[in-house]
Amino acid sequence: MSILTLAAALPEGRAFALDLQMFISVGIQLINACILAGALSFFLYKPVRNILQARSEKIESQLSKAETDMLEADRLKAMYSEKLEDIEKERLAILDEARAEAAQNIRQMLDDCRRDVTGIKERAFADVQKEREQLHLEMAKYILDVSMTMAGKFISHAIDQETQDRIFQEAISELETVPWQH
Amino acid sequence: MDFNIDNLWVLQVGGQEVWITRTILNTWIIMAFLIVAAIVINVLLRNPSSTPKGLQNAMEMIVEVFDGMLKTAIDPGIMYVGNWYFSVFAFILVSNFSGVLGFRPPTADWATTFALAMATLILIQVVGIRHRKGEYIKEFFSPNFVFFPLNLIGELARPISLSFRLFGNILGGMILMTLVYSLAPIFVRIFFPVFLHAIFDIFFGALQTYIFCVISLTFVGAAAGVVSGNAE
Repeated sequence: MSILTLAAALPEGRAFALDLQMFISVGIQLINACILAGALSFFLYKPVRNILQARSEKIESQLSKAETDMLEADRLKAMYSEKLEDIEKERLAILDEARAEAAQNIRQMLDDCRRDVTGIKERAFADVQKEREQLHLEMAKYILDVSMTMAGKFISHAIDQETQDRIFQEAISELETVPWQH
Repeated sequence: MDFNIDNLWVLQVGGQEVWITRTILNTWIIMAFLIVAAIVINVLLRNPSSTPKGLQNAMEMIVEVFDGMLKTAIDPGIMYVGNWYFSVFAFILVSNFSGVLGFRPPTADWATTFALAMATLILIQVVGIRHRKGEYIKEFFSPNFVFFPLNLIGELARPISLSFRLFGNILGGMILMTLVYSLAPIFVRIFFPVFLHAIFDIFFGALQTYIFCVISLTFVGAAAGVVSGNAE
């Protein structure tokens, strides 16, 4: 390859021509354009696009994360609201149950009390009855003793001991058959 | 007053003369500027901040705006062409703006615009075959195989029209600026060119860059069967 730089050897310039030299120039310019495209793409366009893409990916991921967090927050909020509602329902249910149980206990206690009172009353009546019967019996015995003492004193002078015992037994037998008035 | 593209060197490559034109040299200068700037930015952005500011903010904004432009023209499924179009966009924009500094914009040479358009043509075929395979090739023979030559011409017309649109606009602006600098009175040449540079180099330069890229992207998107977010 030799380079001719002599002015006399240089062809005359032209503004436009459709000849071989023009198409050689087209080829050179095409190569130049390809080299420039490669260089600008490598040094400028791709790096800047990568910066932009990295940032937009970062922003997208942050937005996505924010959206996910928001959804999670909504879910938690809904869950806690539901739980609060459940707690309220549970509270009311516990209160109702407690009230019902208390009412049941009260009824049970009242029934027990009534039963106890009735039992106590019945036992008291029975005791009173028993005491009264005992009293009547003791009173009869006392009257009989007094009567016997009086009668014994009165009759001791008239009858012997054997007659006296027989009469006493007869009197006792009669007393046992007599219905006592209450 | 010279609108011609100077030849700076002539190389002999395998017995074939290769003319190194001012366009090619200016292209290399612009390439060097862009690549060095890209490397510097790359080094400065080695440890990016999570809250961008300064250069990082500016670069992110540029890439985001560019990606937004891509998304308006093509489906996200073929966003991988963004690598190519980013450099094409940067190259055409800087080339068009270079007129402000007195450079002859490489885009004022049909060789440059046609090369970029040819790259678009290649990209159209690659993307079309990659995404639609046989269906894409079948389109060349529709509605009937007789129409193949017409379809082929239609396909080839795309890059040619694309290249001439950019070339014509930039060359037109350059010719106008050259005429103003050459023919206008001296007092006109002091302030007036500022407005013309703003219009032809900055405004039309940016506009034509956008138009070239969007039309080219639309062709690529159509070849893939996905344009403006609507998958076929």
